[in-house]
Amino acid sequence: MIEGGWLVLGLILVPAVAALVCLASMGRPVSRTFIWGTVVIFWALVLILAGLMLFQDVWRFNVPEAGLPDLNLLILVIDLALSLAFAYIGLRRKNWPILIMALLTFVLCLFLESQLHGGNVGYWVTVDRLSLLMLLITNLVGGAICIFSLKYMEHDAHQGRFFALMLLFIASMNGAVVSSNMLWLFCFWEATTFCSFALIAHDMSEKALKAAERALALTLLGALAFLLGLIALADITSNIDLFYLMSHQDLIPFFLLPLLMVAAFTKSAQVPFQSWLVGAMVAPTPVSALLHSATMVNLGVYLLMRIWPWYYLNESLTTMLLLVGGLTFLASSIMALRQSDAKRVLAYSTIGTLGLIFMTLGIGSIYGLTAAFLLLVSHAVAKAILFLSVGAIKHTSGSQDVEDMEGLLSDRRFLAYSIYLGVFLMILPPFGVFAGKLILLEAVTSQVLVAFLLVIGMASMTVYYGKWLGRTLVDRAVGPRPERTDPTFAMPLLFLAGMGLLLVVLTVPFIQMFVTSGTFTFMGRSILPLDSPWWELPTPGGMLPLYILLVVIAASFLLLTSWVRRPEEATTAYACGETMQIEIAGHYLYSERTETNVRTAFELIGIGLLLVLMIVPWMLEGIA
Amino acid sequence: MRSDAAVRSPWILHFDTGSCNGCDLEVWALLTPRYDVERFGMVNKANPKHADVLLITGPVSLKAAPRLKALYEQTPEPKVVIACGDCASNGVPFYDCYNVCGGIDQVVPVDLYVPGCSCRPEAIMDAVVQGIELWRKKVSGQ
Amino acid sequence: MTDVVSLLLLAFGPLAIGLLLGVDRRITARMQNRVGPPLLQPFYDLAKLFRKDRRSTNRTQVSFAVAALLLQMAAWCVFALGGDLLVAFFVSGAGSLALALGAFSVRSAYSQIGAQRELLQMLSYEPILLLALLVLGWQSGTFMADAQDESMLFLLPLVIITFVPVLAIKMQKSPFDLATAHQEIVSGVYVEFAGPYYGLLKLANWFELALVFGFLSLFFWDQNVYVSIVGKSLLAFLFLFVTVLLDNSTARLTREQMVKYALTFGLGLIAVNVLAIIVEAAL
Repeated sequence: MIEGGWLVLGLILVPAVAALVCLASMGRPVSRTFIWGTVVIFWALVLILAGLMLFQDVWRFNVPEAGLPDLNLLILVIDLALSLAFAYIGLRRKNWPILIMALLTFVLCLFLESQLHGGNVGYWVTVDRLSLLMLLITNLVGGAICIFSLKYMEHDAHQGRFFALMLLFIASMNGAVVSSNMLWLFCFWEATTFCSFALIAHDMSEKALKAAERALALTLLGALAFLLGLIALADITSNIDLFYLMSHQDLIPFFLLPLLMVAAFTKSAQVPFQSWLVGAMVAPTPVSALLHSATMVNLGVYLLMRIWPWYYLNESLTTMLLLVGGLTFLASSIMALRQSDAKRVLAYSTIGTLGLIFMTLGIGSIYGLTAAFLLLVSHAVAKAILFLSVGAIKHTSGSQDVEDMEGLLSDRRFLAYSIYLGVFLMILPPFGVFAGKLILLEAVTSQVLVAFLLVIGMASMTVYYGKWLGRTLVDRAVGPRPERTDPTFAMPLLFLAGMGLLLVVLTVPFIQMFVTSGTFTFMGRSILPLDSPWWELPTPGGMLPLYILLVVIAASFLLLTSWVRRPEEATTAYACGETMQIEIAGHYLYSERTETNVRTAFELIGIGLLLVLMIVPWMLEGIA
Repeated sequence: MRSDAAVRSPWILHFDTGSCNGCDLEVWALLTPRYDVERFGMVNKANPKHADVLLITGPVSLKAAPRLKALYEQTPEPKVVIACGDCASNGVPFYDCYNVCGGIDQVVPVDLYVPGCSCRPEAIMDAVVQGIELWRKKVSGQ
Repeated sequence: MTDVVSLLLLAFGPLAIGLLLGVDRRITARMQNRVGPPLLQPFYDLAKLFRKDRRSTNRTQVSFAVAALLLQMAAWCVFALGGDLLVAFFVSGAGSLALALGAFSVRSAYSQIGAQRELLQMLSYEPILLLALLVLGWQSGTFMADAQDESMLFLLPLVIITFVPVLAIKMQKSPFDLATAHQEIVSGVYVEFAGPYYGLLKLANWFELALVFGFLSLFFWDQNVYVSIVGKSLLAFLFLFVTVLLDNSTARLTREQMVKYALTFGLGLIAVNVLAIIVEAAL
């Protein structure tokens, strides 16, 4: 089994080393071949790993601690160094909250380490199906984004630094999802915080720095909560190895889980912490793509999925997840209606979808977990496609505003189609995100009041995406000739599109491979068998006739479009007999001021919810 | 049978090319309970793309002419054009006026003429019923 | 037996809607003191549209018209064959979106305004209908259409009432006929669809209405098949009448008013009903 384990270490080391090489080449442009090579290597590694696990029916790979040099010290040093780096940033930018939180992190890290001496048996890394899935997402999608950046960042002055951070991001993400020791997980968690800060601040403009600081401050808050949770855990169990904890679940006091949840909420930008992800849109588009689909925000979800067995039976915690997720979904969907910047629309959509994922985790049944997996993967692919398309549009036309994308279908057919695919993956039945939403909706009937949070968000999601598509569809009688999309842009998009479509077709096998049994090696096999016919997806109260709908959708958009022949005589648009050209503008429901009010209101409610979330378990504990 | 069903649903586009509104009022009168042309499936659609019967009033001022032509062209075949009133039929009340074309048929082909200043709703109905006959012929390709 | 019923439903649902729309026009005419068109008028209209020449402004428009019809048909099939209610709902929603996108694809003022409004209509009725279905599934314990065998008349009366705004929007009736306001924006979303393409969309609307009336009919059930059928039909007619009455006695709302009123009315009523059930269960 050790071979699989080494593959995993390779997944951390290859991008990390490549990042160092990029950093070393500072000032000079990064060689395209080098990036291609790195990406191909970690693609190959992750695919071999997936092949080993999926087709040889292996449920877990480990790298045991024994016989290897003590890496815990290294991890601690990295942790402390990162804290100091954050403190320096806080000092340099005169951002006192960051400085204080960073110093606190430093102290708490040391304190945690002092509690952990001895008793640490276990593994360096453990890879199960959940980790494998995260690895697949991070590396396949992340690699595609790196290749896309080759063209996008072509003329950037700090190319070396950019690619170093991108690769480091992927490396730390890989590290985080395979770590067996929670201390390692925390270290990589902090590393992603650092990478996201540096990438958001890439432009070094005042706006970018502000956004980066906000991201850093909020995620540091989460890191503090995480660390406090770990300390409380270490205090009780004196061992924070995930493998150990999974088999000693009765030891885990549930009042500390809210701390880990807050950490996840900050990372995944849930209300009231959503503002950093929206602000992060100032970063270059590939960074947004990476944050939204392949790395950062998935980490919070990963943490809660990982510890799902600890809380899924605890009603007060699952209810809180449902409420926070539902509130986030509602808030983001309403606020997205107002946005005309495509990247902000996508940011709010990401926040909302993550809210949905947290809700599915709050369902507390295997259906919820199925939905979470489906949403996570489909969303990652769809968002990567959408962000990269917007990036490619911005690269050529200089604007990422939805209003400026008028006539995209006539001008840039390829990019228009890739946007349609991305949006359809997000909203159209029976694609993955839709399947997840369906399962969620049918499951929340057990908590019917939560459904009120969902319904408006579901509708407005269709509306804001519909509005965007509508702008791109407007036909243009006169205009520039269709431009060919640069192959460096087209290739990652095609790759992701293929992934998305494959995922749709293979939904049922996907679930059987990843969710049915052995998802958490720690929980043993067979949580609940989903014995369904291959063409249907069972949902809590019904069935999703997956393939029949797929055929209908395909027929609607492919076959019949070519079957309906072009009319003999084209006619002009009706304008009361006039021939003037009209100018079109989208409709944005409410004013900017209302938007601010709505945001503030939702944030306040979110803070209130979180306070309740923190206090209630303590009180319950006290009563018990 | 299909052509039979088809003529039971003539949809109207009413266009005023500079009429004094006398004829327009009579066209609108068709929709009132007294005349109720919806009995014959007629509906005022106000949209050339959905229209089958064009009820045109007025002597066609020079300004209106290109608009009329555009509307006519946007109406898909088969269609029937009915000129309602004296102005629309031959522009006589405005004979030799400097700013009119002098009748609908100077701009687009007309199938039926309804005389009168203003034309009576009964007469328009009669024209529409004849128009439906024409329609039937056009639909069956004669 | 159930298979035969499903197949009959599949075929006759949209036809029944055609007839229902004929009744609708007759009732409207009578309310306006007119005679009105023959009962089969909607069928004549459809037959006529398919006899007209095919003309469109662009190809995108046509493909979205086809997509709208196919999606609505698929939604109806899911429902009539006893499938998942929510799936039917969402597929039908995709059909509405296709209609809006088709309208968006033409550079025409009326079409664009209509499409924007169509989206706002979706924002107004989808939450209500979705929530109504969720509550129905909550009470009956399943979302399969063929497994709904409980009468909800006395359990969910307020939820049933929320079908009024939904039907008004889907039947393009005042005060919610914003997207297709014919006096104002010349039938809005439909304005650029001529002849057979308009026919496709009309047919799509029939399928969509069949689905909404189908959802409505689920709220009544009786052990006796005949009582069941009669009761379901009566429910449908009652709501048709109320919608027509509303159409003839109200003026059109603005966009903002529509979203506000429809959502407060619909979600509010459902909330009251749900709370009543929860409180009753708690007592």
